[in-house]
Amino acid sequence: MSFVSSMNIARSLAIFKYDVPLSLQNLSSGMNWTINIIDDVLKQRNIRHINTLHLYPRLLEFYNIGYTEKWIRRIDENFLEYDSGVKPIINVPRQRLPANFKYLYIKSFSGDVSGMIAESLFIYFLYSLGVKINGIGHLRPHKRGRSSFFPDYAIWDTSKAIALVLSVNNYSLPILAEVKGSTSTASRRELAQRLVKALIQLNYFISEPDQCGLVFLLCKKPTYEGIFFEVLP
Amino acid sequence: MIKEHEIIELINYIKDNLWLGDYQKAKELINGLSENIDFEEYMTSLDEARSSFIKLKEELGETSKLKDKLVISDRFKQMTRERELSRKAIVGLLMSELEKLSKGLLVTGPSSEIIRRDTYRYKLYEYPPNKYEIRALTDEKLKYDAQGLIENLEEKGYKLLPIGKERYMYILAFSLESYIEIVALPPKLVIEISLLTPNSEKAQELGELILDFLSRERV
Repeated sequence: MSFVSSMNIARSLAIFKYDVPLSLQNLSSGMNWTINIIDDVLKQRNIRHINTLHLYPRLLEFYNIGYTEKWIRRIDENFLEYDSGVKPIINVPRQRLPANFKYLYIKSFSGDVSGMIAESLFIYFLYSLGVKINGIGHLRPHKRGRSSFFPDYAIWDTSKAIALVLSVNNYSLPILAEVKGSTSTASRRELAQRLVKALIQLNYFISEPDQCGLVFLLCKKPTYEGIFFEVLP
Repeated sequence: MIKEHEIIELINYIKDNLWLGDYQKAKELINGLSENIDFEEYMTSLDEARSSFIKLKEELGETSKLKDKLVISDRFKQMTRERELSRKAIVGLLMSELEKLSKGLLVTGPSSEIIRRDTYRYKLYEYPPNKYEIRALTDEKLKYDAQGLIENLEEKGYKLLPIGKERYMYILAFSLESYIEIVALPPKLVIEISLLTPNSEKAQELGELILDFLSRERV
């Protein structure tokens, strides 16, 4: 019997905050604005280390069960391969293929898996800040179709735990949040596109001066890091 | 009047009960929630927000361009702000999920094999030949006595690995005959037990010993 499997080993994830709050008014400047922000992130400008999460992958499964959008089990097992960058190889016959055909030999991570890992890590991060996670609700259960304008999360942070990492502390509830993950090293343009997408999602609902939003971007550079952005109207 | 954050906490508690498999309790909670809030008010807000969005999309057309998307989101924001819709629509969206669950629960039978104790409820799942999983919901107000449990397991001859025991808890315990993994994020708790010799009574006994320890009120 194998008593201690590798899945029990604690991993860590560094979380950084982009120190300049993102104003939704700047969205009209288009992609250049977010590309500059991503450049900052990649070059470690204007970012501040907030926390290093010590992750027990098995615990990640709890956040996955309770707080992510899709029904994918054992995110803890997926996370270890995701984190180490191991991609499984599938069987390739010895026979040659006709010209222009190629065998697939490396499996890619499903975008759903990486999305659920990013969402689970986001909840893990909020929990580490002291947020009561039973006040968090995942929105958008009908993502395909008519109601795709809701962001991922509404957070009723009644104890104001998130204020610890924000530039404002008198925000109205709920705080809205959008989470974006990536399975591999994304280009700066791809990351900027993800950031824009997240900001547009928040732009549907954040308008009052006392509202605030969050974007959590999980990116590989080359190790996985969580970058967290504060979003203001 | 029940507050919005209390609604969300209750929705999450309903989901916890569904995770446990206690459908009866989930039904009771859903019924209680429907009696105490103006369900219609939130659902109407959600419908209004959705129709505003659909109307805008029809007016401005499907687009993938950033500028156009921005126009849609700005116009939508303006419409919902004028009608103070957005906050209620968000709660309505969360509740619409409950409505679906409620319909689903009508066709499920009574909860099976939920074992109830004073401060916790649990269900034992068997994975033949020798694995067992105990899912438990504990009284949220209790603080887990991880140290007491560790000492008790050590007295019983278990070896323990480093653990997380802050607001969540993660303990690994193993002996020559069993391997136990305890993961807790109050009020949810999972105990996974592998036994050298399959024995569900033994697994249940071990599970209850752990749960009894963890659900003791600290003096």
